Amino acid sequence: MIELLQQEFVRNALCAGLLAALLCGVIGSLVVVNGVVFLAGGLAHGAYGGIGLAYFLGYPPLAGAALFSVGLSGLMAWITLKESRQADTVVGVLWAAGMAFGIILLDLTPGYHPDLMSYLFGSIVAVPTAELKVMAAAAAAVIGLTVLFYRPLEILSYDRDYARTRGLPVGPLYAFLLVLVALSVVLVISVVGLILVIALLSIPPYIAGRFSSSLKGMMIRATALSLLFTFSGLLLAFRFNLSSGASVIAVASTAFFLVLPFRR
Amino acid sequence: MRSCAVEVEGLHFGYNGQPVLENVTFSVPAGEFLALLGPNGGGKTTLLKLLVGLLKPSRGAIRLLGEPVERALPRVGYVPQDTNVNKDFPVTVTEAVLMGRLGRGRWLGPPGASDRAAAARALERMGLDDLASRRLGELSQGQRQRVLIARALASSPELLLLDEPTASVDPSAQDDLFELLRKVNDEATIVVVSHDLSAVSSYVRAVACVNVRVHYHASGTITEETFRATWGHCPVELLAHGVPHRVLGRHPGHEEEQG
Repeated sequence: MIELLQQEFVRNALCAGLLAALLCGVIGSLVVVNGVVFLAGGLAHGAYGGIGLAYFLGYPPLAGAALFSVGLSGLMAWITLKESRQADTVVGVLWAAGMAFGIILLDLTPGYHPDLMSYLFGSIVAVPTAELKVMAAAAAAVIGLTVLFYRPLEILSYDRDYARTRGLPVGPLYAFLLVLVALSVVLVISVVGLILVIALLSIPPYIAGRFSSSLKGMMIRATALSLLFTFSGLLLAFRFNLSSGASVIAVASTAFFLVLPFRR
Repeated sequence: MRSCAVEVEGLHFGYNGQPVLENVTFSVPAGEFLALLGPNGGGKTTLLKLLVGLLKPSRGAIRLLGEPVERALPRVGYVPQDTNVNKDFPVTVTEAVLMGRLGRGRWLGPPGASDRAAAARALERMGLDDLASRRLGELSQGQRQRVLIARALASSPELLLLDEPTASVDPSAQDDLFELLRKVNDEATIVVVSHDLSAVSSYVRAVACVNVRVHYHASGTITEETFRATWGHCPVELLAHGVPHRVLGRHPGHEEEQG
């Protein structure tokens, strides 16, 4: 254990896991109570279009994915509020279209670029220190905004109609929520990959929600559970030489299915 | 002349071309305690949703407290009918009541001392002190209904709009609730939707019958006649406490509605 911690890549992996757990615990709780896990999945996949675009134009991929997914989230907010019946379908279309767009742009870009697999599963054990710093700053901003706007976000998530009767600008607030989700998803994808993001955004908040009597409590418990799943998953991965992302998901989904039969 | 809490003029509304409310014009003076009565599907809930801006009129204008709806909303308390909205949402009773404070004070950051005090007062008024830290979803339907009323009271509204507030409350609690609303009426104009005349008859001061049109009876006691106009030909047994002291005339255009 001590030997493991002496290696920089292990320490970076743990820091990345900590940041991912914090973002997924807080933003994932909002995703789960708003019932937008599918939409978050669409944002995560669609953001690949931003990666492709960034490589094609020669910009940093993280910035490309962030801008692209913020644009996507605005579009999804607009469609969800205007045409709520078709929202589900449109999310599915943007999901596929964003990925295809990204892949084609990468095909057209000459030179070396990482393949789709690294986007899907990430590489938590290969996070450079510089990227960790960018991630920490962005995570602080996302969490800070969530704390500042906690009450409007809470009432929006609980009862959108009632929020409207209190005179809250429900449309812009919903778009703001999806922008927070988009930024978190992109930040976490860059270290742990797409599949793990969806697992961490949905599983820990779902379990936490069963044992919490407030949204705040749900966020704190979800963060703790994310940490637990991430660290025990990483430990298993190092110990038995398994893929890190898949090990974390295996631990989290085992917990999910153990808790599932117990109704509140 | 007293100011008006609600002014509705030439209001039309329909779902998919099917008219729900037609040419509705009435005004509620400040300080009134008004019941909106009428058959199911007559448009009572729709009218209330139009008043709080959840629906937009196809034609006509609504003013609350002398202002356009959007501007007036922070000074208006609204108690929706559905107590089962998002039942699984993790929120304590106190937090739910604090939501009513939004629009009154600041939005950002945690609730202030005045918000907490107002929420505590509203909880006490509704007899919910003991349940303050419980999860909302664990409460009975009647208790949740009281939480929704406390949430509306927390904003110290000048106009309180309630949609069937007694629907999930047992009969003995109904009288307590209306007794409380009578006290609230000292500070606020109250409009309450009900399908149950006997529940409201001894408390309200005015009645409006909603059945596509709205017939407003200022500070009168409701009679069988009022009901016939609302329900069409179906005779309705009128059970009310006290003796009606005023018989209302027929509505203009009453005959054509029956045809």
